[in-house]
Formats: sequence, C-alpha cells, structure tokens
Amino acid sequence: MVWSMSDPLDALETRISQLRRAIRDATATGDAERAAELRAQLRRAERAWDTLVDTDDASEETRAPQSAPALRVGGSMLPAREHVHRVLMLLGVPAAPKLIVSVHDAFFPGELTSAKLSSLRRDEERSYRAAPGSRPYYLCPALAYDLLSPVRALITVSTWTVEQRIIGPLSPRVDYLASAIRVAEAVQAAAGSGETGPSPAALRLLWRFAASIPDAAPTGPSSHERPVDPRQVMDAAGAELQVHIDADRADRAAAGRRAHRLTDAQQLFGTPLGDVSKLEAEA
Amino acid sequence: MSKVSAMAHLEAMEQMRAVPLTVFRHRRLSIKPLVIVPLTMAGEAGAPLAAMAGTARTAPKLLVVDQPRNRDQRFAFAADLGRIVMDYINSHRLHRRDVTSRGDGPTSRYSDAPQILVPNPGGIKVLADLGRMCRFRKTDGDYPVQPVVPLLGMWLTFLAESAEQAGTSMLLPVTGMLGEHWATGQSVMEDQNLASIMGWIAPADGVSVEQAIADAENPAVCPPAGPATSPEFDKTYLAPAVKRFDDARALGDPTAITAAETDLRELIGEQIKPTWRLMWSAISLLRAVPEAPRTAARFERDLASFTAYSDYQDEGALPQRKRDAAIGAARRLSRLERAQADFEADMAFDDSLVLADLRSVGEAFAGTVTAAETDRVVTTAKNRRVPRPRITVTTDDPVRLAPGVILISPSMPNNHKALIISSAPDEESTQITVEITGGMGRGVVPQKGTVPSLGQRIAYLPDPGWRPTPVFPEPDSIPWTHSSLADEDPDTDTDAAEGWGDAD
Amino acid sequence: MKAAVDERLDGLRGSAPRLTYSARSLAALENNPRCTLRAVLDASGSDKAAIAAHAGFPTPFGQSPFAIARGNAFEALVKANGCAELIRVLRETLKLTLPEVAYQDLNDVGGNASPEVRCTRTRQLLVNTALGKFPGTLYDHPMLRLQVGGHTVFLEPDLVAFRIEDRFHVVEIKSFPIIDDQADPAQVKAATTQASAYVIALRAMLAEAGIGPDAVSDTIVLVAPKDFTNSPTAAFVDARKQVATLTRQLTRIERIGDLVSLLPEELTFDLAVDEAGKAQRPAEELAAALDQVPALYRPDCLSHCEMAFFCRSRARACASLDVLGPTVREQLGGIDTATMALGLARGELTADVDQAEMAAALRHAARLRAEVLGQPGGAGAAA
Ligand code: SF4
Repeated sequence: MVWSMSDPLDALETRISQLRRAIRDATATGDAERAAELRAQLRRAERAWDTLVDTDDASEETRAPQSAPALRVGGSMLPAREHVHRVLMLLGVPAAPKLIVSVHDAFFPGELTSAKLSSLRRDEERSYRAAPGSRPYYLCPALAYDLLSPVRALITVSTWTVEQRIIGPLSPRVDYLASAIRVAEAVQAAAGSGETGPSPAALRLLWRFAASIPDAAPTGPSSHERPVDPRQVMDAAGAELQVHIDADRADRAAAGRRAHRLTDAQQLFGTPLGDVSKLEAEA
Repeated sequence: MSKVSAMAHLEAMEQMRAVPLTVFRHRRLSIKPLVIVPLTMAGEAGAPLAAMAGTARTAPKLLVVDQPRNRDQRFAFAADLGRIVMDYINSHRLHRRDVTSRGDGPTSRYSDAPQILVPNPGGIKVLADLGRMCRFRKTDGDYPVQPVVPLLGMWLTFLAESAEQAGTSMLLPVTGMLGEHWATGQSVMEDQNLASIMGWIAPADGVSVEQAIADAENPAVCPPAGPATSPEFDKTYLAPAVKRFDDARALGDPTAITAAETDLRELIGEQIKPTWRLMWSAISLLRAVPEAPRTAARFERDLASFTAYSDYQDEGALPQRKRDAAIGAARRLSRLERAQADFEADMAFDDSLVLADLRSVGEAFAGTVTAAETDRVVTTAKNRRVPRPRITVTTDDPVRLAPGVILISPSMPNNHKALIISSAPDEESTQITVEITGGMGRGVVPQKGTVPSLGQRIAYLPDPGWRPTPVFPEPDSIPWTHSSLADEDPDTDTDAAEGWGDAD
Repeated sequence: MKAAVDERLDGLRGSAPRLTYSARSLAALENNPRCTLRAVLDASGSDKAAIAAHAGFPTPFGQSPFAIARGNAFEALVKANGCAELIRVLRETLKLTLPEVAYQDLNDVGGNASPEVRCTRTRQLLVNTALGKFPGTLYDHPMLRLQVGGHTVFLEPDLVAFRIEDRFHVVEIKSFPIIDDQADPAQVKAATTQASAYVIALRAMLAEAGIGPDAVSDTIVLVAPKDFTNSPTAAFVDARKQVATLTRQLTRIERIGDLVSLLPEELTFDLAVDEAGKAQRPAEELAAALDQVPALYRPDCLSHCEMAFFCRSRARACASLDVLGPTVREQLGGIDTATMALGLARGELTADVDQAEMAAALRHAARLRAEVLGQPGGAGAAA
C-alpha cells in the first residue's frame, strides 16, 4: 500500500493491527482454520518487525553471507586486482565489470565477483594518491572524450596510453568488436592446446558476442546446434571494425591531445566535475 | 448485457447482496475438477512462483519455486505440475464409448473429459504462457527437460485454446462462472477478484457484504488470488525469503537451505491457502445451481475435441505452432464467433432469464396465442400437401424481428420451427403471426401437442442455425495438425540460460 | 492572471511540498481526462496518495521490488557492452546502417547528474545532431524538459536514436515480453503513452532551436524481451493518436484556471502536518473539501488513480451507476443513479419527457424479471 511502501516499519505495524482485527473477527465467527492461518501470518509479521527493529546492530551479520563466497579463494591465490588486470590484458580495451567477470569465468580459475570489483576501484585511486607510482599498474576508469571526466562504468589499466583509455562516441562499439576478436582468439587458442579445450563458459561467451555482430554466427537450418566458429567471429568483427576504426581513432587522438595538458593523476583518474559551459562554447 | 441484466445489477446494488442473473448454471461442473491456483513472480512472464493444485479441497499439493529466476527450478516446477496435470488428464483417457459418427471422425469417444478450474482469467493466461514456454522444450541436447514438460506444454496449449471458445468447459475461471450466474453491485473488473465476488454472493457468517468486499481488497486480510502476489507482500516477506534462500545456497549450507525452503513454502502457503479454500467454496455454491439442459450437448463437443486431441497425442503429436497462419487465424475466428452465437442461443433457449434479456431488446418474444388456424394445409412445389398452421401471438415485448425470420421455441417440443409472417404493433402490445413449419411429424395432420393452442403461453427466439453436429474435428481447422517445426526460428535458450544481464 | 491561478493552486495544495509531473503521471492523464478532481489535484502538485490515505481511503498502489529489479536488469542488459544487443535490434527494426553506432551517455555530464546540466548537454547534442553538425546515433537517458502548467517537468526517455538523414526515434525499453510477436495490449498502451510524453518534450526542445516537429518520429520503438528469454526484440508502435491526445490534455492543464475559478475561495487540501510530520487535519474536514470538487469516478480509476477508493465510496454512497461500469451504464443512458433507475422501473417515480422512453423500457425489463423469478425453475426448463 502506498502509505506503507515508504516506511516498512509503519507498514508492518498497520498490518499487525489489521491482522489482529481479522483474527478477532475470525474467532468471533468460529472460523478456526482461518484464525489459525491469520495467527501464523501475525507471527511472521512480528518476526519481520523484530528484524527491522534490530536492523542496526544486525546488519553486519546479515551482510556476511553475501561477501563470504567472494572471500573464499578457490584454485587461485591471486588477489582480485590481479584477476582483473589479467582479464583486461586479454581484452586490451576498457571493459565493464560484468564483462570482466564473464571473461574471467570463461578463461581463468579462481573466483571474482562484481561486488569485489567495485570496492577495488575505490582502493586503486586512494593507493595512487597516497604514493603515486609505487605499484607497477593501477586499475583506473576510462575517460570521457569530451570532458575527460571518469567513465566509472568502464575499467582500464594505467599502463595503457591515454588514447586507449578514452571513450569517444564510437568507442563502445569499437571496444566491443575488439573484445569479440580477443575472446575468439582465446577460444581458438584453448581449442588448439589439446587437453580440455575451451570451457563451456568460454563458448557461451563467444556465442553471445557472435549473436550481435552481423554474420558472426552460423546461419541456416539448425544453426543453433552448431558451435560458433571463432574464425568467423574474428572475420565478422574485423569487418565491422573497419567501418568505425578511423573515425574512432581520430576522436580519441583529439581528446588525447587535450588530455596531455592534464596532471598525471587527472590523466589516470579523470578531471573533477566537468565544466559544461566549456562544452557549449566548443559545440 | 441488456436492461434485464442491468436491472439485476441494480437490485444487487440496492440490496447489497448478489442476485441471480440466470436460472441455470450453463457450464458443466465436473464431479472431480482439478483446481489450480497459480502464482507468478511480478515483472517476469513465465516465471512461476508457486501453484496449489488438487482434485479435492482436503488434498492440495503445494509446489514452490525457491528462486523463480532460475530456469532449472522453473522447469523442475513445470515437471511437478506436469505430473499432476497429466495424471489427471490420463485418468480421463480410460473409458471410451461408441458414437454414431457422421463424418470420418473417430467412432468412439472418451466418456469423460478433464476440467481444470483456476481463480480468474489471469490464471488462464498463466497456464497458456506456461504451455507456450514448455511445449517446444527438448528432452535431449543442451538444456534437456523431463519428458513430461513438453507434454504438459502441448496439453495446456490445447486447453487454453479450448477456453477461448464459448461454451466449453475444460478450462474455466471460477470468477467467470460466478459472474455468469450472479449479478453483483460492482463492476466486471472488481468481479474478477475472487474474494470480492464471493463476498457479494456468500460473505462469511457474521460479516456484512460491505465488510467482505473491503477485506477482499486488503491484501493483509485476503491475499490476492493471483497470478501476481501483492507488491507489499513481495517487498516485506517474499524478497527477503528468496534472498535467504539464495544466501543459503551460495554458502552451500544444507541446514540453512532446508530452513529457507521450509520458510518459503510456509510463507507462500499462507498466501495461497485462502484462495484455495475460496475456490472450493465457490465450487460448492456453483454445484448448488441447477445445470442447464443443453450443457450436456455442449459437453459432447468437449468430449469430441478432447478425444480427437488425445488420439493425436497418442499418434505422437507435434507441438502447436506459435501463431496461426493467416488462413488458420481466419478460420479460427469464425469458429469462435459461431461458438459464441451458438452458446448465446443455447442459453436463451434453456434459461428464461437469458431469454428475457433478448425479449427486452426485441430479439425474442413471449406472449399468449390469441388466434390459431391449426388445420391450415398448403401444397408444396413438389406437389406435397403439408400442414402449415398459423397462429397469432400477442405480446408486450418490443419485438424487432422482421417477417421471414425463422424461429425456435423453448415452450414447444424439440424441432418445433416457425416463420414470422407479419408483425403488427397495436397500442402497448404487438400481434405477431407465425407459420409453423417444422416439428409436427410426417403426416398432413400435425401430431398432438406440436401446434400451440389458443390461450397458450409461448416464447419464440430466432433460430441461430444451430447445428447439432459437433464442428470438431474438422481436419484443416485444427491448428495442432499444422504444427511445423521447420518454419520456427531457432528457439535456443542458450542465451537465456545465463548472461551478462542476470538480475543480480 | 497566470500568477493568480498559481496562487490558487498553491492554496489548494497548502503547506505540502509541490509534487511535479513525471512521464508516468503525464501518461495517466490519458485515463479519465475529464475528471476535475484529479486535474485540480495534479495541477496543484498535491500528493494524491497521502490525501486519499488521510481521508481514510488508502489505495494500494506500488510496484513489486521484483518487477523493479527485473526492469532495471533488462535495461542494463540491453545497453551492456556498448549497447551490443540494442544495436542488433535497431539494425533490424530501424535499419540503422553499420556505421551508425555512436553512443552518448547522458546519465551524467562529467559526473554531474543534476537535471539542469544534463538537460543543457542533451539540448546541445540533439540540436547539433538534428542540424547535421554532430554525427550522433544513440543517446542514453537524455534529459528533456517540458513546461506543464507553468512548471518545469524533467523527462528522461530510456534512449533516443537518430537515423542518418532521417529523424529521432524514442526508444522505450520494457521488461514485459513480446511472445510470438504479441505483447499485452494494456502494457503496450501504457508504454506508448509514456513515450508520447517524450515525443512531445523532444519536439518542444527542438522547436526552441527552430527545428520543426517532423524531426521527431511519432512512431516509437519498443524494445522488450523476446518470448521467455532475456534476449531483446523490437517493434514499432504508432504513437500518433496518443501524442495528439496527450497534447490536448496538456492544453487543458494550461486552462486549469477555468476549473479552479469555479471552486470556493478558501478551499484547500492541506493536511495540516505538524512538526512531528503527523497530519492533523480532521479527516471529515478533508473529505468535505474533496467533495467540493466534481469527480468522475469509473471502475478503471481503480487501476490508474490514487483517489479511487475515496471516489468509489462517494459514488457508492449516492448509488451512482458509475460503480457498475460502462456495460451497465450504457443500458441506462440519461439516468445517473440506481435509485432513479429502480424508481422508474417500479413506477414509483414519474419520468420526465426525456426519460419517458427509458422508463417504459425499464418497466418492461422489471416486469420480465419479476415474471421469470415468480415462476421457479423458469419457463425454459419445460423444454
Ligand atoms: S479516482 Fe477520483 S479523482 Fe481519480 S480520476 Fe477517478 S474520479 Fe477522478
């Protein structure tokens, strides 16, 4: 109900009193079955109320199960940032956490969750600012081509050139196609290495890429039963890439020239709040 | 809807109590219907959350999907429900009896047909969607399902299609059955709330109708009959319970999983049980209403179509196609329209309140025979002498039927047919002269009692061209024989199994 | 003049903060547009839910967290990886060419998510695109602005797509499925109405830059899950009719002064909220204030308007035929209440000239019902 959607505690209290009324009515009419059920509902409502009232001190415990699986490191002892770095080096382009997790699951052992990723990103900037350059690489956000502000949804590696880390209007597509090629290459490599071949997760990932690139997936009857051919994905993605690549490079290069005027930290983590009036002038 | 039915709603409003809209119940009510109360997860079609099913009030089976977004669990649910539904359907595929077949249809029919009852039209939609989701599933390959899943899919599709046809009884919403017989003082939309319409018809002892219908809209007192659960319930109870289950699974803790499962079942049980009980109360109310005579004849058609589909299944059926081709769709539409007209005529013939509806708009009439020329005989073109008595009926009804309309009469023996010769309005009343053309036997002298006599009360309505022959099976109008897997686009669910966009 | 109207509207709302229109509430205008009560409550920015609840008629409205989560997840999926899935379906429906993939994220501008800043940036990019100065294609969550009744409303479509040498298309991403090329008509209608608000706002924005309405298509693109999968599919929906209707409703809001001037001077829906946030106004007094404004209840208010339980109780109290819905109403044209209809049917009331015919028909209908119910079993049973 509307008044209750805003405050769950109020909602529960209203409901509890409604239930009480209803129980009274059911008992009055001798409907024992209904009354018993209402009482069960009431118990539950009371239980929910207890949890809400205890929320503050109980929150740590209730959150624990969520993060617990992420903390258990199975198979590989690498810290999460190493996992992410390895995935980004495979892809060679800025990537979103979800894609990073999928690629990780497809090709590498160990556990990596997107929850883990988001805390990671905050740590990176803090660590850089505390002691710039003390680590061989940092994970940093991509930069918007217009304002050179951080694009937080995309992660890059500090060792890449600034042009590689910039996102122009065409870059999301270009990077997607580039990722498709790198994933296809990795699948092909896994197939060639004998032993187990590519994992089901890797094939599924490749299939997803193929599905949204023209001519990348096999066509014709019962096409869905045939595996996706990594070569075909590389060719198709390469063909579309040719359409966009020059314009995208030009956008990134122009933005890159402006970026070189920024401080080192800004070149890695972006400029603070963009100045919109500057954009107006420029447009 | 006519003014007579409108009057019933007005009376209900005035008395704050449901009043009868018809004399009879025009739907067959099986002695052993399968009641299904399906619940789905908000925001996602084809994500069943739970169902309570069974053929007796005291023996419900509760099926719960612990994580509705998980596809494996969805199909495990479908398999469980499938076993219940298929056991029920198969129990109607045991006894056959011979029929005199007019065409080349089967020469025998099952002697009983299944009847699935759901709370409301939304419940039918859920079963139709479930049918669509299940019938193309494969039992082998990448994402295999249990064999009962596609079977359930095909049968549910068959039943959902049959439910679109007026007068059938194999899958029905109980709110619809109640609303057909009782008029309430609220709108059609509100009547689709099972607790609400039941509140009008039979509020619990000591509860006023006002209180009952207010409770019906309060999810804390009356959980909705589905298919969606109340948003408030989802937020306060269901979401945390599903999360506890997910957490338990993530931790791999068997005790926690069992506890979370039990919790979820208990929670959903509390939501679904009130509806379950209401369903059975509604069924006993409906059972107390006498069944209309022609229901039996319509049931024969259900039996024929059930038998035909069942035999088709026995021959190794293909799933029904996703959409009818243009021709099929047109045939289907005309079939539905014809069924609707037939059903309405049947009801009017059987039921004097429904007939009154037609009378009030001048599409039927009843009155007293005020003149009769019972021994009138004419010679046909083939030079045969046949009886053609004429009578004049005086009626107060605002008749709008033109000369030449063929009539049937519920007040006369079967096969009675008449033709309007003239209609003369006269002050308040109208005098209609009709010629009796059929139902008088073979001789020149009509058989006794086949011609209305002077002073007799008689009712007439137009003959809709009612066919006693079932329209099933008509080979090329049956969509399932047209199933073609070849033209389907590949319905792989590889993409849906897992993806970048899973909700969490 | 305008200022006087605003003052009256503020007075009606009282001390409560003003609620602004959203795409949803604008879309709701399409239902029951002739209801004065709702027009006045909306135009004054009053909180209908709070008012109805305080008057004793809380109406259950709200979305399940599951539905919200599903909606967000589906939109994220469609837009993931440089809108890979979206580009696929738009290439199919809009026939976007291969080079048309440019993507602009307008969810924030350099980390600044304020509506004003986003709106400025949106206008700048879209105007330049329309003028052929900027080669953009996909605009993610542009921020549009529309003046409604003298107040600024910010509207945020899921996506706007521009096709080369053509025009803008509003793209609505919804999580209800399109099963075998068919979707639930009611949901499609709601989505389309919402999208019409975007079409109107987009046109208004471009008009300020001297660009004509043809730059925005009134066919919208609906993107939704295909069958039972997570994979999107797209369909065109013609929104012409709804754009026209909504435009008409918006003009009506501009003329709200006409309605307000008919209301008593001192009328207010103020809840008299005290420091503790508790509403102190006596419920009966609030209800009496609401009763001063004509409402036009119909059963489908129940699915559209927070005032529905209140208005229904009013309609019930005076035995209005509105509670029965259009199917019954149609049968009783010219008569407003059950009392009147039954009175005429029973001959207890005398009909005036206009009602004579209806009265006769009602008397006949009543006689028929009495005749049948008087003979148990009914005449038909004999056959
Ligand atoms: S519920 Fe009341 S205020 Fe809302 S539209 Fe209907 S009549 Fe108007």
